[in-house]
Amino acid sequence: MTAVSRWWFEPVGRGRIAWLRTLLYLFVPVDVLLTTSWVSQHADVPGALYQPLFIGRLLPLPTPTRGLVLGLQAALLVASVVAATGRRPRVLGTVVFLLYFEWMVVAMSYGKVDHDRFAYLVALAVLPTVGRARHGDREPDESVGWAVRCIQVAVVLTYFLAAFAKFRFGGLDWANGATLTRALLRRGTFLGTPLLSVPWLLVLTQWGIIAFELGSPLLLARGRIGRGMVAFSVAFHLVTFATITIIFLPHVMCLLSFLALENLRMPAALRRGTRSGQRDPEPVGVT
Amino acid sequence: MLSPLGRGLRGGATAAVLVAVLIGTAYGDDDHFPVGPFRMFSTKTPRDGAVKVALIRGVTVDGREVRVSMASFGLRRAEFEGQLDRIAEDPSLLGVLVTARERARPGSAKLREVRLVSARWELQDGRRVGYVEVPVAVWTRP
Repeated sequence: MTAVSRWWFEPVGRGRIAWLRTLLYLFVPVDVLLTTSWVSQHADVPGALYQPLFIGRLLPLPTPTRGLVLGLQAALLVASVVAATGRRPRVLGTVVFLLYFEWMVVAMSYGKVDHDRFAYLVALAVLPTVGRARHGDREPDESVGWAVRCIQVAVVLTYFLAAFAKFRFGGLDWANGATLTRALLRRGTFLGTPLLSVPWLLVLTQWGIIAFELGSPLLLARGRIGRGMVAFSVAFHLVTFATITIIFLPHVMCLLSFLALENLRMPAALRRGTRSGQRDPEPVGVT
Repeated sequence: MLSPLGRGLRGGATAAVLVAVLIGTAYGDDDHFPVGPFRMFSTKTPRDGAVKVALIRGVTVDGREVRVSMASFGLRRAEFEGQLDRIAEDPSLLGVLVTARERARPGSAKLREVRLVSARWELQDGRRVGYVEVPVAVWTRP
Protein backbone atom coordinates (compact mmCIF):
# COMPACT_ATOMS: atom_id res chain seq x y z
CA MET A 1 0.00 0.00 0.00
CA THR A 2 1.41 3.35 -0.95
CA ALA A 3 1.89 6.14 1.55
CA VAL A 4 -0.80 8.22 -0.19
CA SER A 5 -3.36 5.44 0.08
CA ARG A 6 -2.38 4.76 3.72
CA TRP A 7 -2.94 8.43 4.51
CA TRP A 8 -6.39 8.58 2.90
CA PHE A 9 -7.55 5.35 4.55
CA GLU A 10 -5.90 5.75 7.95
CA PRO A 11 -8.35 4.03 10.36
CA VAL A 12 -10.36 6.25 12.72
CA GLY A 13 -12.68 5.16 15.56
CA ARG A 14 -16.24 4.55 14.38
CA GLY A 15 -17.62 6.78 17.10
CA ARG A 16 -16.37 9.84 15.22
CA ILE A 17 -18.82 9.19 12.38
CA ALA A 18 -21.65 8.63 14.88
CA TRP A 19 -21.02 12.09 16.37
CA LEU A 20 -20.55 13.75 13.00
CA ARG A 21 -23.90 12.32 11.93
CA THR A 22 -25.64 13.65 15.03
CA LEU A 23 -24.07 17.10 14.79
CA LEU A 24 -24.00 17.67 11.03
CA TYR A 25 -27.53 16.34 10.43
CA LEU A 26 -28.93 18.36 13.35
CA PHE A 27 -27.24 21.41 11.82
CA VAL A 28 -29.53 21.11 8.78
CA PRO A 29 -32.62 22.50 10.61
CA VAL A 30 -30.46 25.22 12.17
CA ASP A 31 -29.17 26.20 8.74
CA VAL A 32 -32.55 25.99 7.00
CA LEU A 33 -34.64 27.75 9.66
CA LEU A 34 -32.22 30.14 11.36
CA THR A 35 -28.80 30.90 9.96
CA THR A 36 -29.56 30.67 6.22
CA SER A 37 -33.32 31.20 6.35
CA TRP A 38 -33.17 33.51 3.30
CA VAL A 39 -33.10 30.44 1.05
CA SER A 40 -36.79 29.77 1.71
CA GLN A 41 -37.55 33.39 0.74
CA HIS A 42 -36.75 32.37 -2.83
CA ALA A 43 -40.16 30.63 -2.77
CA ASP A 44 -41.73 34.05 -3.46
CA VAL A 45 -39.26 35.22 -6.12
CA PRO A 46 -40.60 35.15 -9.70
CA GLY A 47 -39.03 32.57 -12.01
CA ALA A 48 -37.78 35.42 -14.24
CA LEU A 49 -35.09 36.15 -11.63
CA TYR A 50 -33.88 32.51 -11.56
CA GLN A 51 -30.39 32.26 -13.04
CA PRO A 52 -29.69 28.52 -13.27
CA LEU A 53 -26.19 27.35 -12.42
CA PHE A 54 -24.18 25.04 -14.69
CA ILE A 55 -25.40 22.03 -12.68
CA GLY A 56 -29.01 23.21 -12.95
CA ARG A 57 -28.72 23.51 -16.75
CA LEU A 58 -26.85 20.22 -17.11
CA LEU A 59 -29.27 17.96 -15.21
CA PRO A 60 -31.64 19.95 -15.98
CA LEU A 61 -33.20 20.99 -12.67
CA PRO A 62 -36.61 22.71 -12.60
CA THR A 63 -37.11 26.45 -12.08
CA PRO A 64 -38.05 26.71 -8.38
CA THR A 65 -41.70 27.39 -7.63
CA ARG A 66 -43.31 28.13 -4.29
CA GLY A 67 -44.48 24.51 -3.99
CA LEU A 68 -41.06 23.12 -4.85
CA VAL A 69 -39.18 25.31 -2.37
CA LEU A 70 -41.55 24.73 0.54
CA GLY A 71 -41.93 21.00 -0.19
CA LEU A 72 -38.18 20.61 -0.44
CA GLN A 73 -37.76 22.47 2.84
CA ALA A 74 -40.23 20.21 4.67
CA ALA A 75 -38.71 17.01 3.27
CA LEU A 76 -35.21 18.16 4.15
CA LEU A 77 -36.18 19.02 7.74
CA VAL A 78 -37.85 15.65 8.36
CA ALA A 79 -35.12 13.60 6.67
CA SER A 80 -32.27 15.36 8.49
CA VAL A 81 -33.81 15.01 11.95
CA VAL A 82 -34.47 11.29 11.41
CA ALA A 83 -30.98 10.82 9.95
CA ALA A 84 -29.48 12.46 13.06
CA THR A 85 -30.72 9.50 15.12
CA GLY A 86 -28.31 7.28 13.18
CA ARG A 87 -31.06 4.99 11.86
CA ARG A 88 -30.71 3.62 8.30
CA PRO A 89 -27.57 5.71 7.81
CA ARG A 90 -26.91 4.80 4.18
CA VAL A 91 -30.43 5.36 2.84
CA LEU A 92 -31.35 8.39 4.94
CA GLY A 93 -27.91 9.92 4.55
CA THR A 94 -28.17 9.71 0.78
CA VAL A 95 -31.65 11.26 0.89
CA VAL A 96 -30.40 14.15 3.03
CA PHE A 97 -27.46 14.74 0.69
CA LEU A 98 -29.66 14.87 -2.42
CA LEU A 99 -32.28 17.11 -0.82
CA TYR A 100 -29.65 19.47 0.59
CA PHE A 101 -27.87 19.63 -2.74
CA GLU A 102 -31.08 20.74 -4.48
CA TRP A 103 -31.67 23.18 -1.59
CA MET A 104 -28.28 24.69 -2.39
CA VAL A 105 -29.21 24.98 -6.06
CA VAL A 106 -32.28 26.96 -4.98
CA ALA A 107 -30.05 29.06 -2.73
CA MET A 108 -27.31 29.93 -5.22
CA SER A 109 -29.27 30.41 -8.46
CA TYR A 110 -30.44 34.01 -8.02
CA GLY A 111 -27.31 36.00 -8.76
CA LYS A 112 -25.05 35.24 -5.79
CA VAL A 113 -23.09 32.11 -4.94
CA ASP A 114 -21.71 31.53 -1.44
CA HIS A 115 -18.46 29.69 -0.82
CA ASP A 116 -19.01 28.22 2.63
CA ARG A 117 -20.70 24.98 1.51
CA PHE A 118 -18.05 22.82 -0.14
CA ALA A 119 -16.84 20.95 2.95
CA TYR A 120 -20.39 20.54 4.26
CA LEU A 121 -21.58 19.09 0.95
CA VAL A 122 -18.60 16.73 0.93
CA ALA A 123 -19.48 15.71 4.50
CA LEU A 124 -23.11 15.00 3.60
CA ALA A 125 -21.88 12.99 0.59
CA VAL A 126 -19.46 10.79 2.56
CA LEU A 127 -21.46 10.22 5.78
CA PRO A 128 -23.68 7.59 4.08
CA THR A 129 -20.63 5.59 2.94
CA VAL A 130 -20.17 4.23 6.47
CA GLY A 131 -22.57 1.68 8.01
CA ARG A 132 -24.13 1.94 11.47
CA ALA A 133 -21.89 3.54 14.08
CA ARG A 134 -22.28 4.01 17.84
CA HIS A 135 -21.19 7.01 19.90
CA GLY A 136 -18.12 6.20 21.96
CA ASP A 137 -17.03 3.32 19.69
CA ARG A 138 -13.25 3.57 19.42
CA GLU A 139 -12.87 0.58 17.10
CA PRO A 140 -10.66 1.88 14.25
CA ASP A 141 -12.15 1.56 10.78
CA GLU A 142 -10.79 2.39 7.35
CA SER A 143 -14.17 3.44 5.90
CA VAL A 144 -14.51 5.96 8.74
CA GLY A 145 -10.94 7.09 8.17
CA TRP A 146 -11.60 7.83 4.51
CA ALA A 147 -14.86 9.71 5.21
CA VAL A 148 -13.22 11.84 7.91
CA ARG A 149 -10.19 12.54 5.69
CA CYS A 150 -12.46 13.70 2.87
CA ILE A 151 -14.18 16.23 5.13
CA GLN A 152 -10.84 17.45 6.49
CA VAL A 153 -9.32 17.85 3.04
CA ALA A 154 -12.43 19.71 1.85
CA VAL A 155 -12.03 22.14 4.76
CA VAL A 156 -8.36 22.70 3.91
CA LEU A 157 -9.10 23.18 0.20
CA THR A 158 -11.72 25.83 1.00
CA TYR A 159 -8.98 27.94 2.57
CA PHE A 160 -6.01 26.93 0.46
CA LEU A 161 -7.67 27.34 -2.94
CA ALA A 162 -9.24 30.63 -1.80
CA ALA A 163 -5.73 32.12 -1.82
CA PHE A 164 -5.36 31.10 -5.48
CA ALA A 165 -8.77 32.52 -6.32
CA LYS A 166 -7.53 35.85 -4.89
CA PHE A 167 -4.39 35.67 -7.04
CA ARG A 168 -6.48 34.80 -10.09
CA PHE A 169 -9.26 37.37 -9.72
CA GLY A 170 -7.60 40.06 -7.61
CA GLY A 171 -4.00 39.71 -8.77
CA LEU A 172 -0.86 38.65 -6.94
CA ASP A 173 -0.97 41.93 -5.01
CA TRP A 174 -4.54 41.36 -3.80
CA ALA A 175 -3.38 41.90 -0.23
CA ASN A 176 -2.29 45.49 -1.00
CA GLY A 177 -5.80 46.51 -2.01
CA ALA A 178 -8.77 47.82 -0.04
CA THR A 179 -10.92 44.70 -0.06
CA LEU A 180 -11.47 44.75 3.71
CA THR A 181 -12.34 48.45 3.50
CA ARG A 182 -14.98 47.47 0.99
CA ALA A 183 -16.27 44.70 3.27
CA LEU A 184 -16.42 47.05 6.27
CA LEU A 185 -18.16 49.84 4.33
CA ARG A 186 -20.74 47.40 3.08
CA ARG A 187 -21.36 45.39 6.21
CA GLY A 188 -19.22 46.63 9.09
CA THR A 189 -20.50 46.23 12.66
CA PHE A 190 -19.91 48.61 15.58
CA LEU A 191 -16.76 46.58 16.24
CA GLY A 192 -15.62 46.58 12.63
CA THR A 193 -16.45 50.09 11.39
CA PRO A 194 -13.86 51.91 13.57
CA LEU A 195 -11.15 49.93 11.73
CA LEU A 196 -11.92 51.99 8.59
CA SER A 197 -9.77 54.76 10.00
CA VAL A 198 -6.71 52.48 10.21
CA PRO A 199 -6.17 51.42 6.55
CA TRP A 200 -2.66 50.05 7.16
CA LEU A 201 -4.04 47.58 9.71
CA LEU A 202 -6.52 46.34 7.13
CA VAL A 203 -3.73 45.80 4.57
CA LEU A 204 -1.75 43.92 7.21
CA THR A 205 -4.80 41.77 7.95
CA GLN A 206 -5.14 41.02 4.23
CA TRP A 207 -1.56 39.72 4.22
CA GLY A 208 -2.44 37.67 7.31
CA ILE A 209 -5.43 36.16 5.53
CA ILE A 210 -3.26 35.07 2.57
CA ALA A 211 -0.71 33.58 4.98
CA PHE A 212 -3.42 31.72 6.89
CA GLU A 213 -4.99 30.36 3.70
CA LEU A 214 -1.66 29.18 2.30
CA GLY A 215 -0.77 27.68 5.70
CA SER A 216 -4.09 25.86 6.04
CA PRO A 217 -2.67 22.38 5.16
CA LEU A 218 -1.16 22.56 8.68
CA LEU A 219 -4.68 21.73 9.88
CA LEU A 220 -3.83 18.18 8.84
CA ALA A 221 -0.69 18.07 10.99
CA ARG A 222 -0.72 15.87 14.07
CA GLY A 223 -0.48 17.09 17.64
CA ARG A 224 -0.11 20.67 18.75
CA ILE A 225 0.30 22.29 15.36
CA GLY A 226 -2.90 20.75 13.99
CA ARG A 227 -4.88 21.55 17.15
CA GLY A 228 -3.53 25.09 17.17
CA MET A 229 -4.59 25.59 13.56
CA VAL A 230 -8.12 24.34 14.30
CA ALA A 231 -8.39 26.80 17.20
CA PHE A 232 -6.99 29.63 15.05
CA SER A 233 -9.49 28.84 12.28
CA VAL A 234 -12.41 29.06 14.70
CA ALA A 235 -11.05 32.35 16.04
CA PHE A 236 -10.69 33.68 12.48
CA HIS A 237 -14.34 32.95 11.75
CA LEU A 238 -15.49 34.51 15.03
CA VAL A 239 -13.55 37.73 14.38
CA THR A 240 -14.93 37.87 10.85
CA PHE A 241 -18.43 37.53 12.24
CA ALA A 242 -17.88 40.20 14.90
CA THR A 243 -16.57 42.72 12.36
CA ILE A 244 -18.52 42.10 9.14
CA THR A 245 -21.28 39.62 10.20
CA ILE A 246 -20.09 36.95 7.81
CA ILE A 247 -19.63 33.46 9.19
CA PHE A 248 -18.99 30.29 7.21
CA LEU A 249 -21.12 28.27 9.61
CA PRO A 250 -21.55 25.04 7.60
CA HIS A 251 -17.80 25.08 7.00
CA VAL A 252 -17.09 25.74 10.70
CA MET A 253 -19.25 22.70 11.57
CA CYS A 254 -16.91 20.62 9.42
CA LEU A 255 -13.95 21.67 11.57
CA LEU A 256 -15.45 19.19 14.07
CA SER A 257 -14.05 16.40 11.86
CA PHE A 258 -10.57 17.28 13.19
CA LEU A 259 -11.56 16.47 16.79
CA ALA A 260 -11.21 13.01 18.36
CA LEU A 261 -14.97 12.74 18.82
CA GLU A 262 -14.73 8.93 19.07
CA ASN A 263 -13.58 9.40 22.66
CA LEU A 264 -16.89 11.04 23.60
CA ARG A 265 -19.75 8.93 24.87
CA MET A 266 -23.37 9.93 24.43
CA PRO A 267 -24.65 11.17 27.83
CA ALA A 268 -26.65 8.37 29.52
CA ALA A 269 -29.82 10.45 29.73
CA LEU A 270 -29.86 10.90 25.96
CA ARG A 271 -28.74 7.35 25.22
CA ARG A 272 -31.80 5.92 26.97
CA GLY A 273 -34.09 7.83 24.64
CA THR A 274 -37.01 9.89 25.86
CA ARG A 275 -39.65 7.19 25.35
CA SER A 276 -38.18 4.87 27.97
CA GLY A 277 -37.85 7.68 30.51
CA GLN A 278 -40.75 6.67 32.76
CA ARG A 279 -39.88 2.99 32.87
CA ASP A 280 -36.22 3.70 33.43
CA PRO A 281 -35.22 2.51 36.91
CA GLU A 282 -32.00 4.53 36.87
CA PRO A 283 -31.96 8.20 37.78
CA VAL A 284 -32.25 10.34 34.66
CA GLY A 285 -30.10 13.33 33.94
CA VAL A 286 -27.02 12.43 36.01
CA THR A 287 -24.22 12.22 33.52
CA MET B 1 -10.92 -3.67 6.36
CA LEU B 2 -12.26 -2.25 3.13
CA SER B 3 -12.53 -4.57 0.14
CA PRO B 4 -10.40 -3.71 -2.90
CA LEU B 5 -13.59 -2.64 -4.68
CA GLY B 6 -14.64 -0.37 -1.79
CA ARG B 7 -11.20 1.14 -1.72
CA GLY B 8 -11.14 1.59 -5.50
CA LEU B 9 -14.54 3.30 -5.64
CA ARG B 10 -13.59 5.66 -2.83
CA GLY B 11 -10.25 6.43 -4.44
CA GLY B 12 -11.91 7.12 -7.78
CA ALA B 13 -14.52 9.43 -6.24
CA THR B 14 -11.81 11.29 -4.31
CA ALA B 15 -9.74 11.80 -7.45
CA ALA B 16 -12.76 12.95 -9.47
CA VAL B 17 -13.79 15.59 -6.92
CA LEU B 18 -10.21 16.79 -6.48
CA VAL B 19 -9.75 17.19 -10.22
CA ALA B 20 -13.11 18.98 -10.55
CA VAL B 21 -12.34 21.48 -7.81
CA LEU B 22 -8.82 22.13 -9.11
CA ILE B 23 -10.15 22.77 -12.64
CA GLY B 24 -12.87 24.93 -11.08
CA THR B 25 -10.29 27.03 -9.26
CA ALA B 26 -8.11 27.45 -12.33
CA TYR B 27 -10.71 27.96 -15.06
CA GLY B 28 -14.21 27.97 -13.56
CA ASP B 29 -16.40 30.57 -11.94
CA ASP B 30 -19.34 30.81 -9.53
CA ASP B 31 -21.52 29.20 -12.20
CA HIS B 32 -19.75 25.89 -11.49
CA PHE B 33 -20.95 25.64 -7.88
CA PRO B 34 -20.09 23.62 -5.84
CA VAL B 35 -16.70 23.09 -7.52
CA GLY B 36 -16.16 26.66 -8.70
CA PRO B 37 -13.30 28.79 -7.36
CA PHE B 38 -13.49 29.81 -3.67
CA ARG B 39 -13.67 33.45 -4.62
CA MET B 40 -15.00 34.99 -1.43
CA PHE B 41 -13.62 38.56 -1.37
CA SER B 42 -11.24 37.62 -4.17
CA THR B 43 -11.60 40.79 -6.23
CA LYS B 44 -9.22 43.57 -5.34
CA THR B 45 -10.71 46.93 -4.49
CA PRO B 46 -8.07 49.54 -5.43
CA ARG B 47 -7.12 51.82 -2.53
CA ASP B 48 -7.96 54.77 -4.80
CA GLY B 49 -11.05 53.15 -6.23
CA ALA B 50 -14.68 53.04 -5.15
CA VAL B 51 -16.90 50.77 -3.08
CA LYS B 52 -20.35 50.16 -4.50
CA VAL B 53 -23.48 48.98 -2.77
CA ALA B 54 -26.93 48.50 -4.28
CA LEU B 55 -30.05 49.75 -2.54
CA ILE B 56 -33.70 50.24 -3.35
CA ARG B 57 -35.71 53.41 -2.86
CA GLY B 58 -39.39 53.69 -3.54
CA VAL B 59 -42.37 56.02 -3.54
CA THR B 60 -45.59 54.72 -2.01
CA VAL B 61 -48.95 55.25 -3.76
CA ASP B 62 -49.67 58.03 -1.24
CA GLY B 63 -46.45 59.82 -2.21
CA ARG B 64 -44.06 58.94 0.64
CA GLU B 65 -40.33 58.39 -0.13
CA VAL B 66 -39.21 55.14 1.49
CA ARG B 67 -36.15 52.92 1.56
CA VAL B 68 -37.39 49.46 0.59
CA SER B 69 -35.70 46.40 2.10
CA MET B 70 -34.36 44.00 -0.49
CA ALA B 71 -35.41 41.05 1.67
CA SER B 72 -39.04 42.10 1.17
CA PHE B 73 -38.56 41.00 -2.46
CA GLY B 74 -37.22 37.63 -1.27
CA LEU B 75 -33.69 38.43 -2.46
CA ARG B 76 -30.43 39.29 -0.74
CA ARG B 77 -28.54 42.47 -1.57
CA ALA B 78 -25.77 40.49 -3.25
CA GLU B 79 -28.37 38.79 -5.43
CA PHE B 80 -29.66 42.16 -6.66
CA GLU B 81 -26.05 43.16 -7.28
CA GLY B 82 -25.40 39.93 -9.16
CA GLN B 83 -28.30 40.73 -11.53
CA LEU B 84 -27.77 44.51 -11.69
CA ASP B 85 -26.95 44.54 -15.41
CA ARG B 86 -29.96 42.40 -16.26
CA ILE B 87 -32.31 44.67 -14.33
CA ALA B 88 -30.72 47.81 -15.81
CA GLU B 89 -31.37 46.38 -19.27
CA ASP B 90 -34.93 45.35 -18.45
CA PRO B 91 -36.39 47.50 -15.62
CA SER B 92 -39.74 45.70 -16.02
CA LEU B 93 -38.13 42.97 -13.87
CA LEU B 94 -38.59 45.42 -10.96
CA GLY B 95 -42.30 45.42 -11.74
CA VAL B 96 -42.38 41.61 -11.72
CA LEU B 97 -40.71 41.72 -8.29
CA VAL B 98 -43.19 44.31 -6.99
CA THR B 99 -46.12 42.12 -8.05
CA ALA B 100 -44.60 39.08 -6.33
CA ARG B 101 -43.90 41.17 -3.21
CA GLU B 102 -47.51 42.29 -3.01
CA ARG B 103 -48.67 38.69 -3.34
CA ALA B 104 -46.27 37.36 -0.69
CA ARG B 105 -46.66 40.30 1.71
CA PRO B 106 -50.14 41.77 1.32
CA GLY B 107 -49.59 44.04 4.34
CA SER B 108 -46.57 45.87 2.92
CA ALA B 109 -46.80 49.47 1.68
CA LYS B 110 -48.03 49.65 -1.93
CA LEU B 111 -45.40 51.23 -4.19
CA ARG B 112 -45.94 53.65 -7.07
CA GLU B 113 -42.30 53.84 -8.06
CA VAL B 114 -39.24 51.68 -7.37
CA ARG B 115 -35.65 52.79 -8.01
CA LEU B 116 -32.67 50.44 -7.93
CA VAL B 117 -29.70 52.59 -6.98
CA SER B 118 -25.96 52.00 -6.89
CA ALA B 119 -24.37 53.93 -4.04
CA ARG B 120 -20.62 54.62 -4.31
CA TRP B 121 -18.08 55.59 -1.71
CA GLU B 122 -14.97 57.09 -3.35
CA LEU B 123 -11.70 56.04 -1.74
CA GLN B 124 -8.37 57.81 -1.51
CA ASP B 125 -5.54 55.67 -0.18
CA GLY B 126 -8.07 53.42 1.48
CA ARG B 127 -10.09 56.19 3.15
CA ARG B 128 -13.60 57.34 2.32
CA VAL B 129 -13.62 60.76 0.65
CA GLY B 130 -16.97 61.01 -1.14
CA TYR B 131 -20.40 59.45 -1.61
CA VAL B 132 -22.72 59.47 -4.63
CA GLU B 133 -25.82 57.56 -5.65
CA VAL B 134 -26.22 56.48 -9.27
CA PRO B 135 -29.62 55.28 -10.54
CA VAL B 136 -29.55 51.83 -12.19
CA ALA B 137 -33.19 51.18 -13.06
CA VAL B 138 -36.55 52.81 -12.43
CA TRP B 139 -39.98 51.21 -12.56
CA THR B 140 -43.21 53.23 -12.38
CA ARG B 141 -46.61 51.67 -11.82
CA PRO B 142 -48.47 51.84 -15.16
